Amino acid sequence: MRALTEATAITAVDANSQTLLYSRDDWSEKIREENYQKLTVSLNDLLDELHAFQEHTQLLKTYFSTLSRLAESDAPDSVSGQTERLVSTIQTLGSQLEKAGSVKKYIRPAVTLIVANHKQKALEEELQKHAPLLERELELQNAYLKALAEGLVSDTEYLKEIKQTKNISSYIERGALDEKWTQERRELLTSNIRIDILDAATMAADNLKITFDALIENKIKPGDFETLFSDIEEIITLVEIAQPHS
Amino acid sequence: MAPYEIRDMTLKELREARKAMVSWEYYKALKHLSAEKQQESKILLADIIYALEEMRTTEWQSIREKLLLNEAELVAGSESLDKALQNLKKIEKVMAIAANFLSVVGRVIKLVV
Repeated sequence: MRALTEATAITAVDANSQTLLYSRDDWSEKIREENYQKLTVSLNDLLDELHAFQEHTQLLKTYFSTLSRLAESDAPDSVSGQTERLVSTIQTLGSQLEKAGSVKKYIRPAVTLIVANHKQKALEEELQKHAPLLERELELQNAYLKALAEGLVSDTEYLKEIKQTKNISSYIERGALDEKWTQERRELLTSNIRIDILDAATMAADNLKITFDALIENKIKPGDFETLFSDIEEIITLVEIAQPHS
Repeated sequence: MAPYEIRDMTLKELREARKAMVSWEYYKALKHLSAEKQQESKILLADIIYALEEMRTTEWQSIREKLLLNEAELVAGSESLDKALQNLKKIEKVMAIAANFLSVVGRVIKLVV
């Protein structure tokens, strides 16, 4: 399954490129240049935002990994210092994402968290200190994934509309038909928007939040951190942006 | 409306316009217009897409005041455009309403590089 952010980035770039191509023949060089510049600038902003989201997810994984060590460490003080720095960086990136994306409408209100007694006191202290902040960051992940999904669906519909118009016009208007016309028509009429990616991403984000709540309530043991990691790995797999080929 | 709701409404309308303006129905209607008008429509589409991308990536808090200040016109413009997009055969009307909506959007975000 293609990662959600990769799919979002590729679809956004394709939608952007199609717009440039759509009217290229009708534009003068001057207008072509202006439009190229305009549309490329806006695309770069979106790609920067997607990278920030990917980084936010990776940092959350590092935080949970540190939390796992905190539960087992003989020297929790040194680990505790690391969580402080991590949480601060996660929050900085989080506030950047909250401002940039269409996430606001998807963010649910904060819930009151009651940290249960944990056998590992350092873990309990860490949760007392940072659980409410982490809960918000996980909520942001969830909301951002939903906002990404919205953009992806819109870009996909737009691209499909362009292809459909070309397919119809090539049949109705005069001139030879491309040999791939039948195949393209079939693909257009039978393709569905990749709802599976979107569902999987939001479900993974929900699962991560549920597991985190269970940790706070001491319903999972530190040994069960694997569940937390598998939840976040699922998101990372979904949100990874393809690295440029070297 | 809350500022982010005004922004989301605007974004939704720009997306609807973008999709409609590349549809077969719009394309058919466009062919009946003069070359000059066809050119105008294509530039309008590029401007709508640029506005959409800008609206999508601009920090909503940085345009909060402008969104509130232009709320009434954005709502009215969005409703008019929504209605116009239902009948793409009246392409010149669609173009005029879309251009008007875009000019209101231009008060909120920068539309030139």
